[in-house]
Amino acid sequence: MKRAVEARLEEMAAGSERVLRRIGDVAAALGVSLRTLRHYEDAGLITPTQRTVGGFRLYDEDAVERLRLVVQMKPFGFSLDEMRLFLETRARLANPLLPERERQELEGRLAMFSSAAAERLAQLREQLSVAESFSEQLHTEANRLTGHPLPPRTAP
Amino acid sequence: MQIGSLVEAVGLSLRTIRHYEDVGLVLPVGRTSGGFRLYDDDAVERLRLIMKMKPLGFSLEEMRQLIEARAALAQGAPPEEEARLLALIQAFSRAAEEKVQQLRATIEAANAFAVTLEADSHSSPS
Repeated sequence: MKRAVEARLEEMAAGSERVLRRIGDVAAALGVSLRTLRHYEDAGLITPTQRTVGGFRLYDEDAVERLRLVVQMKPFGFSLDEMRLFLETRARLANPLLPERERQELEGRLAMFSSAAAERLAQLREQLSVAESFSEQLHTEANRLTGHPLPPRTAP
Repeated sequence: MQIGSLVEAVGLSLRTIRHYEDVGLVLPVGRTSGGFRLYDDDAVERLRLIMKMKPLGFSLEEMRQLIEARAALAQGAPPEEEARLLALIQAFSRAAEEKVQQLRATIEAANAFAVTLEADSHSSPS
């Protein structure tokens, strides 16, 4: 309760009605650990919007959105630098006054990210196919050897 | 069969097969009169198993454990030993199923990003 009041006071002091959330809530909402969030912050991927009097990091909607994207990008094995570049590209494209030539260059960059992601996704699907085949084989063998069926595997 | 047929049967390179032979995962069953190594269907099966385990991140040692357990069970082993080997196979079966679940979750998360990119391309001001 005290912390919520603290945060609210901070908001009012900043003269803004933006919704600000604490690092713990953001981490919980995105399903990542505090340590991971702090790691992304240290790497410059996100910056807290503010800090409370007590020193707690606060994040606004933009920051949370950036974090959400970073979490989504994780399975693709992008480096921190690559993720930073992606976020920057995306942020710049959001500017409606962007000159056409620059827009095209940035969209080209996004397209490269898209295609790298698509490639990785295809690899992951291939791995899944191999994993399912391997799991099936062992399950059948173990069954055959015991004569007692193992608990059923979960269906895809 | 000689190594050429083995290469054809499993789709691995000569060099890769020789590597697995060097670490003892695949064993020739004899030699031709000319001195060339001969392999049987068991070699094919072992290599196919290795090909499934490698992309899933299993170590050479883990591959060796599973291969040797299956070989020992096929030859017949005393009941105690058999129970131990069976437990090993069941453990690998569970590990494999875990990897399946992990991969499914990762792919689902990866799909979310693809959806985001799609939404982006439709909503960017131009």
